[in-house]
Amino acid sequence: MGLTTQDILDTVDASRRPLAASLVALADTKLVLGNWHTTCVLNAKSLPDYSALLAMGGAAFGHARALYDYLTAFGLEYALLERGRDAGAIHSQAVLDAPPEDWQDFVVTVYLADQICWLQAERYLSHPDRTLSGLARRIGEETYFHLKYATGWAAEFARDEASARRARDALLRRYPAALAWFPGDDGHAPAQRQACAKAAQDLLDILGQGGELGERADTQVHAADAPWRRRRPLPGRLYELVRFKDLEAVP
Amino acid sequence: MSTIVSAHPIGPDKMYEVFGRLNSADILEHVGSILAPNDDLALVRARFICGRRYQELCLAPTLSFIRAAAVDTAAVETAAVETVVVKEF
Repeated sequence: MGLTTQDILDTVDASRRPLAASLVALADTKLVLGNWHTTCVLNAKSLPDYSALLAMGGAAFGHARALYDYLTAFGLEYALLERGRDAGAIHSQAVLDAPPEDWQDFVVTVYLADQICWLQAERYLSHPDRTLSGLARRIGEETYFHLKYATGWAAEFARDEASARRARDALLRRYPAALAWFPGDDGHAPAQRQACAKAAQDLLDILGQGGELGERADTQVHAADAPWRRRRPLPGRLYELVRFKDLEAVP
Repeated sequence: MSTIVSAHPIGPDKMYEVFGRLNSADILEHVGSILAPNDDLALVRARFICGRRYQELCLAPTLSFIRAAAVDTAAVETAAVETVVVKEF
């Protein structure tokens, strides 16, 4: 068994550990999100859609690397963060653990993941470290377009009842894992959960699917998934996609 | 990850004209055209295909433009032909 997230974070000064944990989780989620885009890109519905998916994947990888680079200021090693960790040490959102079941599921899941990432990143918009606040602003600028991509597709799903229902089912299935990212004992969590719920409800409204989401978080299942608590490893097949396979090429 | 298989109706793509400016002092310049089924997807595609370097992007459906030159020329030519035909009679 290799290093866990906690092992890595234990090397960070205790006063800065919560921030480092949050940023590692954010970067890891971006890493997995980028792989979601690039793995699913061949399912794009047209050439412009293909370009948009690739660009969004590229942006997610870029954010991950920028955050890993920023984390070197915490004494963490870039090579370890980017390509030196095993499945037990990658700390991405649980909402991305299961592969998409269809196109609707893909769109809904990346929407939730991007929304959660932004709710996490926006806390740093006014951080005194201008590098971090600049990173957060940059993530926000890109996220705006990523969310537009999802709402644009949701509007298309709404044209067809069966398609809209599949999207709604996917949303309801993924939503508890999305909410669990914001633990109850974090001071920011209530507002973040509320914002996450509103974003999900907005998507339901675009889909033309009525009903309230309500409090659907399965806290027993997902209690360990909050940014600095994840204990279970990344699913094996997902890790095989995510991990870098060119270790021998790294100097 | 499994292959995604999905069949669902997508609205017909519309053509959008994309304009951008590099900074607030620049005028909007035409940077391309994009096909998309709705405004949100058009905006995203314009952003990623026509360029991220623009500080501002503006889109409008191509059909919303009033094409003065093309329409007027056609109208003039048609009128001219009709006039000639009438003269021959």
